[in-house]
Amino acid sequence: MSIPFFVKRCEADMEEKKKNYREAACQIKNICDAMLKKENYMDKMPECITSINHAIMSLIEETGGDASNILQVLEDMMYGMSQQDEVFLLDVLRFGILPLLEKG
Amino acid sequence: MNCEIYEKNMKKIRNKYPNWADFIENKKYTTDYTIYVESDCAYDGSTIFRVSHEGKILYLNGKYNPAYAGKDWLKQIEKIDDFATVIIIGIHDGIHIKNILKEVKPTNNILVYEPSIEIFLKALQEVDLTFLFEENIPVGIIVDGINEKEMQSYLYTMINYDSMTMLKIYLSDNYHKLFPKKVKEFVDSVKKYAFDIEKNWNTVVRYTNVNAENVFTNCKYMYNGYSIGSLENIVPKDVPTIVVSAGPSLNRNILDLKDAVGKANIIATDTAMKPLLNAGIIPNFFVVVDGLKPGTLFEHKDISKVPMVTMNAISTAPMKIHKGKKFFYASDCALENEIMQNAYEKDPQTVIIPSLASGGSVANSAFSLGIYMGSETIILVGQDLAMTGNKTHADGTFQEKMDSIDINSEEYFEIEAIDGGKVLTRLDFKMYLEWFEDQIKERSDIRVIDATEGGAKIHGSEVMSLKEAIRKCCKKQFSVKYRVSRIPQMLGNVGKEEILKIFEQSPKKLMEVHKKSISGVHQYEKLEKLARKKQYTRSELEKLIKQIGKTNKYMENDYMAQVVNDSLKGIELTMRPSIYHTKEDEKDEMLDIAQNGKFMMQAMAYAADELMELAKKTMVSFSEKTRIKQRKRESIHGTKL
Repeated sequence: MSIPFFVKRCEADMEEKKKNYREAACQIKNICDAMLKKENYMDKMPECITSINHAIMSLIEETGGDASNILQVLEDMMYGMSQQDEVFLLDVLRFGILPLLEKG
Repeated sequence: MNCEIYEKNMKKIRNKYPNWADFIENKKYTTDYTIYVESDCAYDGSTIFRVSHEGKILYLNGKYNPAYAGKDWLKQIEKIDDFATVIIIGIHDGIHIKNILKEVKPTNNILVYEPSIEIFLKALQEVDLTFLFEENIPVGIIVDGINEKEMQSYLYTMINYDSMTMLKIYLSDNYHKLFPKKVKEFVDSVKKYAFDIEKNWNTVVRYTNVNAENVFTNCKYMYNGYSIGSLENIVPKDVPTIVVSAGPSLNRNILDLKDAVGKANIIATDTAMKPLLNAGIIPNFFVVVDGLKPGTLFEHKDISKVPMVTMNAISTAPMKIHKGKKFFYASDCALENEIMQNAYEKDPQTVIIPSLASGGSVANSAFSLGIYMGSETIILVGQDLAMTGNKTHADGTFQEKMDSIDINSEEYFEIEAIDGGKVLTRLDFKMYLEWFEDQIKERSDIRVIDATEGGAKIHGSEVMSLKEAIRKCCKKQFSVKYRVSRIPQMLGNVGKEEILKIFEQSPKKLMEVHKKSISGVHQYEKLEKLARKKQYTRSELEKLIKQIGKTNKYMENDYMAQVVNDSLKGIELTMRPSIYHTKEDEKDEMLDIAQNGKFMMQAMAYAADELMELAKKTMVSFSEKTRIKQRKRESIHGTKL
């Protein structure tokens, strides 16, 4: 019996989402490493933000509307970036966003 | 403000640092209103801080996982050695300090520096910092605005030659952005302190080989010698001291010094003596500090007319060539200490030998001497501290015409000149310059005039020509020479007898050190055997350790053992830092200790043997000749009677 199209579609979607999460997590880890080594991380940020955006959209979909904690993390990330506060930003990335992606 | 937490913190501070408690409670501090500290609540409920300063608003810890503070650094450094000193910059919420304290042992020293009193005061109000103020913990705290003046004392207590290679520094996040100047100044102080320790050790090692020879040969001059202790405050405050150094600019204004003779206390450095005497100027003193200076600098018919300020460790040639009065300052030598202690015990009229503060150069010592003698104005002449005219020293010092330097050599670099331009200098000159500048800052009661008329700028000094300095400051007639002629020798007859006894027993003492060292070698060999055995009893080990302890105690406390040890500083320099790197296994540790100990004891035995011959040629020979003279004198008096 062949697998129904919509099941295949769901599985593909899940795979896509996991790929996005992994991609975003990898980008975040690279940024965090660069920050810890006091290297320049700003050139990697745009790509990282794009990955995070894709991943976060999927996360929000999964929560079915209750995205307050995800939005809080995003807000904190934006704050850290706007203030150029590496202490704050590193903490948000490592202990705010990364756990969300790893749970997803 | 959390009143409960504040009271808890203040109670602990009142107990440990009552002055701090009074200072804080009575608001005796000054705060910077451009620094605004707010507390915030992290997502785990703990309190963290956010600081606004100079347009920046920065968090001192993260909101998601503040408990992680300090752990990245701990991972990076991997290990804190057992005797390491750990410096932590920034207190704020204290979480990072707690994490670091979990990884240290009671043998570690911890120094915490907080550059912002505003953050410290806010932290006292919001977070429990009582752990920092517990009794009996090796934690020193410096808060800028409360006790920053204690910094040097803390550095002195917590960092030494053994621990400085294991030093670890933790910089709290964002402190370098918020307080860049204070953080840099603090780190620079620590670096400078470590550099000074290394410099002192390098100096000691540089002179190791000649030290024993110099001390044994020179200490006979103490018999008829004088102490700088007799020079304290003999010069009125309004009579200036002129320190004459041998910088290239001396050739320009040396003859102006003639107007100061009889109206100032003129102290020359050793290298400046020949140019001065050749110009017909007799200074009141000249200072020698170097254990390796050549005798040629002192070959002049008038050299003995000038009292020499000296110490036992200087080179033997100048001491031999100079036949005039010798004023001693402390050389930190165990033999000298033993002589003076014995003399003082038997005769309290003995004048003790004080030390002379110095930054490493003879001019630094001459400067300190001028202040010690009582002058409130010090005039510096020939103090170029730079390669003025591309030369290191004045003509007529090491050579009649000094060679020019190779200005392309990497040894030289530019610094600010006295006229605002640039001049070349080198590292050692810069060190001496910085010493003068530190002294000028510290001694605000002393007026320092730079009358070199060339060279590097000494910040804090007044710059003027020598003629003008003499016109302004040398107004009163005062004969230093007359005052010095009235000073008695440092040893009376009883003291002189003590010094002869010590000289006579020196070969016997050295033999004693030799025998103890050989015993030490055997003891460490036994320890080595024990370490290689599969099994041994605790009591076997304890008994041996007790014996080794006794031998080491003798080596530390006996004056002749210290003299022998001082001649081995080069070896000690190599071995010391590794002593505090502990091994994992007890047996490996024992083997390491045994091999190092055996090596040191063998070196001690060998050195004691070598020094015995030297002692016979120098101290014993002097004592024998002196006894003969004494007997002759007694027999003459006997005949006369």
